[in-house]
Amino acid sequence: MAVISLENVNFAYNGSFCLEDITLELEAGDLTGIIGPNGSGKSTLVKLMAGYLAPDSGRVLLGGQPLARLKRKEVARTLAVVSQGIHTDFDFTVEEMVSLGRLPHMGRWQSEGPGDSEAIEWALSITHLTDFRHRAYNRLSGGEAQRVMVAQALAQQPEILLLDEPTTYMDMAYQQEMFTLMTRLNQEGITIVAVLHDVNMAALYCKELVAIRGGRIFAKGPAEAVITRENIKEIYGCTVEITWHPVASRPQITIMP
Amino acid sequence: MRKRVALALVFVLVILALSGCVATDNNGPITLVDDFDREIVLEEPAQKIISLVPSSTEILFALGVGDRVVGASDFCNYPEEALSITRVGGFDVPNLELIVSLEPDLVFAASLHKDTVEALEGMGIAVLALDPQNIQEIYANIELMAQAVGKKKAGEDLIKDMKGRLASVATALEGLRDAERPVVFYEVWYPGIMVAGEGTFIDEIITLAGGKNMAWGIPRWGSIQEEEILSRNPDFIFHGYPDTDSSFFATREGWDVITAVAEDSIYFVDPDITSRTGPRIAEAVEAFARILHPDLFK
Amino acid sequence: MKKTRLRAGIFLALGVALIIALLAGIAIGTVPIPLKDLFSIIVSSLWRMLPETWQASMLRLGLFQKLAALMEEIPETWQAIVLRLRLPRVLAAMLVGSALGLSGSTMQGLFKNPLADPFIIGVSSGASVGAAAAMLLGLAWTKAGAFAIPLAAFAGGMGSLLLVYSLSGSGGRRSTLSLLLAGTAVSTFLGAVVALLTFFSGEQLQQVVFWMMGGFSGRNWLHVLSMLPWLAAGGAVIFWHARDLDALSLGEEQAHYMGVNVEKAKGRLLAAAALLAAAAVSVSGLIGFVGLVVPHAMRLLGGPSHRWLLPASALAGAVFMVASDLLARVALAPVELPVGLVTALVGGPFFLYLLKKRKVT
Repeated sequence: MAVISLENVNFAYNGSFCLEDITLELEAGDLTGIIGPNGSGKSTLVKLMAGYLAPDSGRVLLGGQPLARLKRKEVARTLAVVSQGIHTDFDFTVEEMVSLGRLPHMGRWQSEGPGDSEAIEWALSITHLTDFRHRAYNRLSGGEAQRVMVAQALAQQPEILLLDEPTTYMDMAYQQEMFTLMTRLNQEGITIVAVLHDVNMAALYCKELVAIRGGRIFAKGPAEAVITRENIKEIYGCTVEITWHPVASRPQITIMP
Repeated sequence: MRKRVALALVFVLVILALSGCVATDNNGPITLVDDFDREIVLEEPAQKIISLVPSSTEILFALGVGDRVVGASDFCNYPEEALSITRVGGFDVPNLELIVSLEPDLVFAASLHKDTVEALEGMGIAVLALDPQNIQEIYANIELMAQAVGKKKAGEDLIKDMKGRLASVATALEGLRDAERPVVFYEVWYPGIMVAGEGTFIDEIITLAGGKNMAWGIPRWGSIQEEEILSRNPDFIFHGYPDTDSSFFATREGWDVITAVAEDSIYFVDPDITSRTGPRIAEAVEAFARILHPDLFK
Repeated sequence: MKKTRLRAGIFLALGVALIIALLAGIAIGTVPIPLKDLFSIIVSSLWRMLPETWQASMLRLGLFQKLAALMEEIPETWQAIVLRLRLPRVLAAMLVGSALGLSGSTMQGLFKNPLADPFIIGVSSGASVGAAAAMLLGLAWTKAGAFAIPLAAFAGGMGSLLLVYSLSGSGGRRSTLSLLLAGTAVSTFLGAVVALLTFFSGEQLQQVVFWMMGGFSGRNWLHVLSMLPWLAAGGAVIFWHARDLDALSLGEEQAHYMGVNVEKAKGRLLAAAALLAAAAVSVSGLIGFVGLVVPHAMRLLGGPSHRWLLPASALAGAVFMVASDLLARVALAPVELPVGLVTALVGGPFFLYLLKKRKVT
């Protein structure tokens, strides 16, 4: 059964169409990469799936129920989002940032219980942040801060994790670490949807790819079906050669000079 | 005894100072020195006068030359005839153009008119700036103004009348012991209670009227805290708020322990009389004395 | 868990400081009252609150005879000064201080801006318009003046909230940015209205200026009591949304993903913080810096988590205000300084010190 489904979703910012007629089903256990050029509507798609934006027409369903009718707290217990570059002027420690992820699980007056501490510790350790817990979030590097936001989302103990360009601005080691983490979380049963910039990384790690162009779904399916010379030419307007990853047997693009 | 000698000395000094101001008599140029040591010379007694200060207006009318006042400040409301004089603007910022267009040969100003005085001087208009600090200096001002308008005799009569009224109050109060002087609280402002402290005219009026100003230790105009008022426990409260009654004071938290409030000895006094450095100061002293010592003024 | 202990320590210290400040505020004033008499005034006033049967039986047991005798000797004036002047003003300062501390920390969290203060959306200007208008109508000189002006100020403050809220957008969503912009615009506009009213105030000028500088002189038990329901209601709403404020300080989108109903939380928090600010201003007049400096200092000491920051700011605001009021009364006695002047004189340099310290670490 689909955990998230979008049915004929249309969305426009101030009258100009951003997403048109999107129909998409995400199954439990998926690891889906959303690719597409800048401004194609990838991030908007994530905001719609997470209910931050409401479609102008069509519906978004979470676990078969219309997202708009669910309580925010219920949604946040099932679905977590990692956005880009979260900034705050306040000196939260890493641990405080991560424990904020427990918000949808806690009562108004309740303080942290054993279940909460367990979830926080798990989120810290799986993101290799245990030693950073007392550091100030503000003073972390971009990559470290991004990991904190992943940990915060994980502390929500979600079934579905949406990530909006989680590896942008990161060096190679961080990128690899992030993708390894996504794979591991997916193996633990979390459905993952990630907006990705790097087509090769997406092809390498995602089970399924959705390619967007001009606000419409252009192609959808396993990497070998989506990453073709013709598709890349159509989507990005680039002439590339497709090679085959020597170990993972996934398609990889090589840009032609 | 020593106090009397000192007073007499002051009096002599004032007289000497006054005679210094009056260099000539009415039949020639008149040289006048104002409270800021500015010297002006009038060829003849002033005929077209502008008064920027309500007290000067009152003095001019009292000298019988009210008809020579061609311009007055917005606040000059006494005597009633003064209301029909051309207005030349508010207290601190008079309308210069209007003043000039009235072609005065003398303008009376106060210490706060510094800029106006300089501007008028620059245009060759004679200005006398007055700044009396006590009743003795009011007499000096009256004398100076009388000189300026050529009414020396009227000035002397006016001063004599004021002195006479104050002397009869002093006679009635003669032998008053310190303990018999009621503590008087004159409230100038509320909220942020402001009192008339030492060195103010109100302080002088209260003392001359046989009272003891509650605002001792406070120089000039200052604020005072409520607990200090409760502790100093005034026997009388005077205020200048026209549309209030005693309940304005009685409803203040804790004030019911004050003698003046408990005994309802709360009086409205026209601030125009108590704050203007003119002839009516003597009236104020009489009025205060009658309230403070009703049995001595039957 | 070092932080938990640190925070508990700060709470304890603030609690002790508040008790000391309250006692000092009652004990010290321009009129010196010996501690012994002060003690018997306070004990006997508590004694008078006991039911008569208790009093009788305690007297029978031989307790408090001495006290009753002592009471006879204490001048009525001193009793009035302690119980009716100092006590209510000290309590009013405490409540106003905690309202400003709470309101300030809420506004800072809501606007994600450590430089926000309770008056950021123009509550103070609105309240000033209300108060100045009431003074110009001559209400201060009437019997009802003691309450007409606080009421007018409160109405003005809440009016500015409504104005900001309706100007910042329509329907469901209002971004904090548009609230902030509308707040600045309304604040500036109402500030001009106040200036205009002041210009035409003539004899009431002194009153308007005095009110704007803020203070607690002449505040009585009714002021204290009128503050309580607002503090309780506003405080309850804000504490209810304490965790939401944490989430909101990461941005509205992030708060949304963390399960916060952003529009609802924002609306309630804004209304509650403005309510507290308006209630505080209506009792004390304009007192700056408390709502800005106190949350800032608490955040530096114990971190930005609102479940700790809100109560800590309320407590520290109370301490700061009671202490400032005491300073205002005794620094130049018998003249009383406006409290707003004291908080600005103490708070300004302290704020600079905090900023500098922040840069160094």
